[in-house]
Amino acid sequence: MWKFRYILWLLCCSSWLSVSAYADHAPADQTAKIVMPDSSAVTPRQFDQASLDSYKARADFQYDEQRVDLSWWQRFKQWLAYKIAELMSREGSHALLKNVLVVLGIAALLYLVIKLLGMDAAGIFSRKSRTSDLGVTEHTENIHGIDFAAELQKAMENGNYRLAVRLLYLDCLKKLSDSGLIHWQPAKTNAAYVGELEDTRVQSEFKRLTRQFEYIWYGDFGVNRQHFNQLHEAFQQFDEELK
Amino acid sequence: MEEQHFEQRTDLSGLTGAIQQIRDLLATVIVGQQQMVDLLIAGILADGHLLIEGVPGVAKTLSAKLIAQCIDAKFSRIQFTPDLMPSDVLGTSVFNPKENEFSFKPGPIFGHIILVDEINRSPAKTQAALFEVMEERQVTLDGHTYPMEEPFVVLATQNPIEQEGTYRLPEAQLDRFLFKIEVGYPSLEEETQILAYHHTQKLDEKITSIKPILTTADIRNYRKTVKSLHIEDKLLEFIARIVHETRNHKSIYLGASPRASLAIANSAKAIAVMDDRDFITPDDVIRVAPAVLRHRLILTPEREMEGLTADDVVSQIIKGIAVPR
Repeated sequence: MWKFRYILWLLCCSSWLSVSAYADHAPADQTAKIVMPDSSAVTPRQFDQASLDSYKARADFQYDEQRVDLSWWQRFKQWLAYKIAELMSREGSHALLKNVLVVLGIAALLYLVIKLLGMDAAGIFSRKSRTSDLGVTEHTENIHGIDFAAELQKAMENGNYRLAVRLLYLDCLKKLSDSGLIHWQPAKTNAAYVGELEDTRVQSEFKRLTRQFEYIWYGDFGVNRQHFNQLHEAFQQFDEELK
Repeated sequence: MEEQHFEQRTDLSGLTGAIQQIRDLLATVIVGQQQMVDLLIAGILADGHLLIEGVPGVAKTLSAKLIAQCIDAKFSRIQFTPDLMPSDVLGTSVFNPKENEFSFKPGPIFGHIILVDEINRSPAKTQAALFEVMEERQVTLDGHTYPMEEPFVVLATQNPIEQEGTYRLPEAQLDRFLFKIEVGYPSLEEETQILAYHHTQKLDEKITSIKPILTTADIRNYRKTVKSLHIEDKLLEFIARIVHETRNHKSIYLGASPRASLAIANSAKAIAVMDDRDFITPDDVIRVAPAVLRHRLILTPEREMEGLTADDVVSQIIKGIAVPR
């Protein structure tokens, strides 16, 4: 018990010593400070009305939502979305969705096959096919529409033997085409026609005539009456061989 | 009928003889590929640069080397790699401490026949170095212009762009090539011949024993001869029509330029000479048109996806135009 009293006495002494030490070291003017009331005049500031009005007038600060009238297309889309949602929420709607997806999948697969095979999709569903990619106009004379005898006579009378040789050659091509030995197409070259002839004798003779024609027509080599007569005879002989 | 012989207006005997010699010489080493050999010769005669495309192992580089060996000219080879720099091709200015000034050190492009091997292994930056020299036959560096000597021919080889580690060449550069020659695989018979040939012959000795047939002066003269050949107005219109149609075709995104028309006309003349003629025919035009046009056309993406090629479109165009006769 005496121990407890002794500790209590020590605590009281130490607290008294610390309070008295603080009082000794405290600043002397702290007790002399006087709190003065603020008596200065207060001037309230006002917002500039013009600035406020200008801000209010700006579209950025218009928070009132305006009602927008929907177009018929937007209303239709809303209605369609609502109907689809309603349909899908019914019992058995998953089976329907599955069927629709299967049909769409088959259609996509068909489209892919058609594209890969390069088929004309328009031609499958209608008689009228798409136009060809090649929009090239063919500029040529129709050899089946030329009166060769008359034109040849005219060219010979005018002394235009170069043109006359050309007419002889075109006539020769027409006769080969008529006899089914060549398949006439304006885009084929003379060499292609030579290659089409199966009979080697006919081919060799036609090749020789072709060479003569090319020298005169593409090579711009002159041809006189004597040379023309020789060529005319050669073309006539070739015609006889074809018969 | 006794065939009328037309007098040649132009003396082609020396030229046709040399062409036949080159053909025969190449045939002793390369089996088949006659179309490639003819287009290589025609391209050089028409003063053009040539691009040879094919999968590895179809004698692209060998053909280019052999054709270069047939001409007594300065030959350079540049192996295009992904890290090749433009200065590695054109040359660079090097500081000379003795004279205290920069001196130009020419690159391998300075030659007569330049073999650019695997051209599409280098990126666009290096390809751009070739633009000026291929078109204008000159190199401009540090404010100086260095003209190239005639003949100047770039023979480039490339693998198809689908191959690993290749870049697509810029359109501007492709347009500078006269021909794109496509080299396919040999036929079964040709492959058997190749095997038999390699079994019995020593190829290296054969290649090194090849002696030049033409000089650079010959090439210059023959080019003048080729240029002077006769071409009818209706054939000029035929060529123009073919090129014009490439600009209107639905399958083509980018058509051929007027440079392509000139290329067809010039190379058709070279082909005519090879057939001993001093004038061109529609066959000559049709023979060179695919090689001139195939690298100049860009197909629409959908057509490309469908597997259509430029050759298919060129063929369609030619089949749609009447041959003038």
